[in-house]
Amino acid sequence: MMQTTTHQDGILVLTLSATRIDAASAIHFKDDFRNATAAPAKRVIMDLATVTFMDSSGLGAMVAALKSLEGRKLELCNLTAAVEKVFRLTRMDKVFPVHTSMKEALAYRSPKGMDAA
Amino acid sequence: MSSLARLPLSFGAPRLHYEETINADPISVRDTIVEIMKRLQHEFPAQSEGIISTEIVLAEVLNNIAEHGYNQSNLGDIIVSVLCTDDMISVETRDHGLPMPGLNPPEAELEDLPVSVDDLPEGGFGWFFIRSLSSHMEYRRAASQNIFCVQIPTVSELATQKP
Repeated sequence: MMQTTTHQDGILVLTLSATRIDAASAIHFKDDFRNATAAPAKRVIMDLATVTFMDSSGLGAMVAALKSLEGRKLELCNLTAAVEKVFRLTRMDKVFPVHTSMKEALAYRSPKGMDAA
Repeated sequence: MSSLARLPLSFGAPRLHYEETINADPISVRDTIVEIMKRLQHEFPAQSEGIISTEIVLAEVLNNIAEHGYNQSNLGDIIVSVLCTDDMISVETRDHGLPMPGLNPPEAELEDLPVSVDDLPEGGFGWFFIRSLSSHMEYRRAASQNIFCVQIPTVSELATQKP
């Protein structure tokens, strides 16, 4: 369900193969995420391009995933319309940094001082 | 007569798109949603707000029944019907699970998100989605049966106006 690629500068990229993060897959998703992020990485970026649907259980799994990073951010990119809507309605788009593309995500440099906040 | 017929009128003759009895478990729920969306996409643009909202509402309504009505037993039937007109998609469910607490659909408001990541909620969004994406809903308990109807506007000023 989750492929990992480590980029230069210690950026861990998670690429999903799942199309739906929902009540049927939420537990599996959380387990996969913990395994995929066990090794330390400076940044974690998740590519959600394949995910065409996410429900409240799926969103809960994303929050659990973020918590398991223990203080690190979980950055997201390539949100489909349905996933974007779920994040926007719950204002979770203010909690997870959202990038429009992987290219933009990789090029992103957080403003000075923001990491410390 | 189906309760859907008693919901507020909208434009165009209602067309039945789906009526099945399904098992209340997460995999059956997912398969059902995929099938309903496939049928609805013959009529509405795939990425339109109304279609996206309908998929979210369907998932929350059906998973609530499996999780709370039938207590995650994966045992129990849900009769699902979907009707649509040009401007409205109506979903009706009937099940024999537990009644809704207080015989009313739960209130759900989005609270301010906590500052600390550890305090973020991992659930409780279901009824918030159903309430904020629908224009009308109705719940009845009749002879040990739960009957729930919800309408989602297909041209959604409702959804686009929400912050």
